[in-house]
Amino acid sequence: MTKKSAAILQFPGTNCDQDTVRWLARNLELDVLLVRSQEDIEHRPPGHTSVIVLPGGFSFGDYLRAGALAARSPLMDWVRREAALGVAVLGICNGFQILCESGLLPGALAPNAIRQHVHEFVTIRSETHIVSPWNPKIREGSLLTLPISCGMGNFIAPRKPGGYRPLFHYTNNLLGSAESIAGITNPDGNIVGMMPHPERASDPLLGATDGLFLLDALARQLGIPVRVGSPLELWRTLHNEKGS
Amino acid sequence: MTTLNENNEEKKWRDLAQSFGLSADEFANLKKLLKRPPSLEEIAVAGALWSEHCSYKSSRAHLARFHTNEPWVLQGPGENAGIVEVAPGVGLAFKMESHNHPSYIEPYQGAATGVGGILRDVFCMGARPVANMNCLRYGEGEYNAHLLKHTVRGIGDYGNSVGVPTVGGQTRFHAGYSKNILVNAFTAGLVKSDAIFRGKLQNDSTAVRSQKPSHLTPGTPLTKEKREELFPAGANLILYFGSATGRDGVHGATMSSDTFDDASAALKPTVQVGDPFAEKKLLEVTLELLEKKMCIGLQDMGAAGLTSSGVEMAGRSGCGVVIDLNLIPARTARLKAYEYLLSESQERMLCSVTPEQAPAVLALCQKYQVAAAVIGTVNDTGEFVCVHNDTVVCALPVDILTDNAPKYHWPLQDREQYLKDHQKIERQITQIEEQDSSKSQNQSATNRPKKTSVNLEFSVATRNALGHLLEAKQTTLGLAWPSLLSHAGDVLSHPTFTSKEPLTRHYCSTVQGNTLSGCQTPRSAAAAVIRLDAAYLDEKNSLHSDPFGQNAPAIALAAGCQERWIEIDPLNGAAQSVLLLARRIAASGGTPLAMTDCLNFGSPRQPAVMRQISDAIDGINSVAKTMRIPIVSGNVSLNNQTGQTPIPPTPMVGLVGVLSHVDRMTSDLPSAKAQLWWLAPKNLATQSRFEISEWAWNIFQMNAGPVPAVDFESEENLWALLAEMRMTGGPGSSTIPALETCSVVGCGGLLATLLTLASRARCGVELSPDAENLNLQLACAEGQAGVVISGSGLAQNESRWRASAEAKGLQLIPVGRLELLSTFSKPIAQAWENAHATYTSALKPFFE
Repeated sequence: MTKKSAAILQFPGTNCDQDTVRWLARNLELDVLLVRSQEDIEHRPPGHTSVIVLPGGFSFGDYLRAGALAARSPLMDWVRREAALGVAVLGICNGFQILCESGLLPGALAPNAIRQHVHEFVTIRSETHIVSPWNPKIREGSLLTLPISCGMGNFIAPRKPGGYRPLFHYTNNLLGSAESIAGITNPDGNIVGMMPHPERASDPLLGATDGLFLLDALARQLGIPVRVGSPLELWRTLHNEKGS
Repeated sequence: MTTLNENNEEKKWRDLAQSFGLSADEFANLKKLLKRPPSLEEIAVAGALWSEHCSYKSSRAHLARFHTNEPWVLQGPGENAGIVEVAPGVGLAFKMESHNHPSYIEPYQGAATGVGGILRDVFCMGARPVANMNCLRYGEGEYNAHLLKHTVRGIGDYGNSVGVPTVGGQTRFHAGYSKNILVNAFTAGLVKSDAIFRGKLQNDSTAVRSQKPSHLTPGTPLTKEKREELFPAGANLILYFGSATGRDGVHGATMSSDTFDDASAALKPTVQVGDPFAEKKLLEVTLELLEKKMCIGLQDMGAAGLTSSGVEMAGRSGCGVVIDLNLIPARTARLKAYEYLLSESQERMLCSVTPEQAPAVLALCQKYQVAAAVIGTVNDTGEFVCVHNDTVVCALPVDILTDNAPKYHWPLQDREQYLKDHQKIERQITQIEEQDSSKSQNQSATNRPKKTSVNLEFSVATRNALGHLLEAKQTTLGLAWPSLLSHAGDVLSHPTFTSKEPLTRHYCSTVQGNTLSGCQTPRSAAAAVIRLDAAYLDEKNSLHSDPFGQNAPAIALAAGCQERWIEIDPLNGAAQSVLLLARRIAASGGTPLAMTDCLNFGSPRQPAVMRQISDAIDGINSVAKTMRIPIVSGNVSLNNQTGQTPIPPTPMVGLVGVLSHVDRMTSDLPSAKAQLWWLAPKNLATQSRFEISEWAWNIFQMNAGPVPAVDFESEENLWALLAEMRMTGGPGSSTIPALETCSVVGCGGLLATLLTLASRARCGVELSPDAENLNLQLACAEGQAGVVISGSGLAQNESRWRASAEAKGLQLIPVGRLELLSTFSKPIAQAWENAHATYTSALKPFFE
């Protein structure tokens, strides 16, 4: 069987691309492709890609609104077409902002309520009933600890209700998000945007592993094998022992 | 284009030279060396390169004493950054640089561009930046609150956007910085040791070429023939890439070497504006260019812009350059020749290429959407020649600018006299005059300071209560404890003692995914710790055998300075100050390898300041030599003074170390129920002193000498014992670890260490009987004061480790236990809660 493949988008100014490549490539049996321009994807048949991740950073400097320029780049047309085919799309931080700016997710991200860039480990809870390849299997009421690092993480809900479902909520809403939202999904569940960085919390050495919950969910739902000896495999052993 | 006319207007030209930073003597010397009157542009170039910032004219004589070499040094001083080997085939390039003056005038841009500049110094050598740190000093009052807020924002925004984690540093407050804050930025980057790039123009830079002077003089019109002669086909080319050139920062190097007076506000247009997105693109294009070896040499355009890069590269390679200023990408029309030469527009690079390489480099720049242009050629004249509007405007022999730059041996105050004068330093209670707020009126409405104000005073009640206890020299820690607890909240709200997290949460410290210990990271150590990225490791260590980086080596970083000690005694103070940083590396599990310095002082024309500079260099050097921690790069920032009052002497040092294995990292945060020991030299009472402590400074408003001379033997023994304990038990071993946490006893002595550990762990401290009997002054003393450690193996084998400590001339004193607040009586738990609350929140209002 050929390996499934993942595409990581890198716009000028994106700076979490290598962390995200490592997150996927180290834990899952996936072909991980860094996509910088149209040329990188023009020979890929539609639907050939299983996973698309838009990593964090400051695309095009974020000098207009965060993500506004990247959202209008031709690469996003490709993401739009793939997403319509049901590909699992995840936007992290600036990636979330790009998804909102491009209309793939509704709403917008405004400057943090505390009016400064915040880098901090926060706790979030998830809506466990939502079906999404990115929805971690955690028990109702349990929390994930992940870092946020953003200046514009304050989620503004669209005027028209519907069109999205909250997936993650902060337990302490210091950014000022509507409904304490840390992440949302489209109604189909395949497109997820979130402000916290799971890719930075997936290494026992760094003292943070809750990001592996997301990879675990993705691997199970898309049937992607886990790499032998990887932090994810180790983590699974531990969590199964604990029986969660 | 103007040329000096000998007879008349002599004074006018002298004044002009002065406005470009040349003294009357220097101007006369320039004429003598040139054997003709210099042009305006030549005065501008000489003024920039002979500035303190570029020429180190007042400090060079002393810097030469630095210990700079050890087998692991791959690049010592003289390049854009120093490099040491941290793993086989992997170099760590690092440097620290000041951006003090610009940051006082325009804090956000001043601090941001400071970060940008130091990043370029590191990545122009082919190293990918993996960590930033910053060392900040502020004074008192409203304007300093404004400076604090916006410098921190500037540092954060720039580093975050480029994607380099800001992992630590040191922020301190002292009234002596109220009118001269310090912003020192540090960057470290990784480079494969066979891919290090240097700022040169020719490949065979070792060969001494015969130099053929061009005999050009300013004013020579450029005929077609002359142009062909100057820019011959086939010569190596000078290629410019990065942001376009504007007027920003013209005079920056002279400004940053200037003393402040009331006219400073008028200098505002001189401050550069940072564009981190341009920097990120520049970083990627530069690293790709260097990785593919597409150019001969490369250097960033920092202070004094094109002038210093062009001249320094030519100087290093022993050749000459010709630059046509009209070819430089400009973002402003009608730039004058001297403005092109002095512009400090940010995010620009200069490189030299062969004619064959040029097209590929230009194409690569286009791919990254970075402006690029060929602006000149390399020749063998040994001259720095610039052409503007088809006329030669500058034709200076490079050696005049570099080797013949002024070198001053300013008089030094006698050391004994200095020590006598500074035996007792009384704290100046500065009244921050309204002059500062009048200055801020020149700023835009959004930049106007809020009504927060930096207050460096304990409350009167705290001063009285603690002063009363400390005056009786026999008071024990146990006797003072209840009073200390009730004032702990006030103590921990002091800007020096309080948590810096309200600042550091502006800094993204986890980007790149290798930060084991940084700001707000789940794990933490006495130094910042970064895992080496697998991409840099050789086959043996590479992804094949360690795909998840769980066995990689790591680097440890620490930076800072203890200016109060150094002001009392620059020699012993500086040595103790560097040693304290090295102890942080050792406590985190690392071995110190090398350091960079950023020497911030007042005016070298004051003999007392020169004594500080000279002795601080010797003090740092004594540690460098004895502990084998060479100084591989550095920067000097002089004239940090207002009127006749210099800042406290602040030789900031950035120290790097290596952990052979990420597993070796020792935490600095004990958890609840942990039993704590103080591991310190046996001669603690002489090696640390209350009179030089932050407590004496804040309670008795003074510090007093002497500063103890370093006891290197006990320090080496301390590190050796820590290493031994670390190897006992722990990962992969059947025995329980002897050393689980290690925190350095620094500012505020043991007492401050205990209070902050308690606050960080959200616990209270239950003192042991030994601790209760400790002399209070000793518990407050600073100096060579060891570490506070904990470990379950240590608790089990206390007698064994106590004997080991004794045998090494150290003592192991049980100090107590961290306990959950619920175990204390209500009033005591309440006191701790107050302390924790002020500890975490005191600095928050400054950022609202």
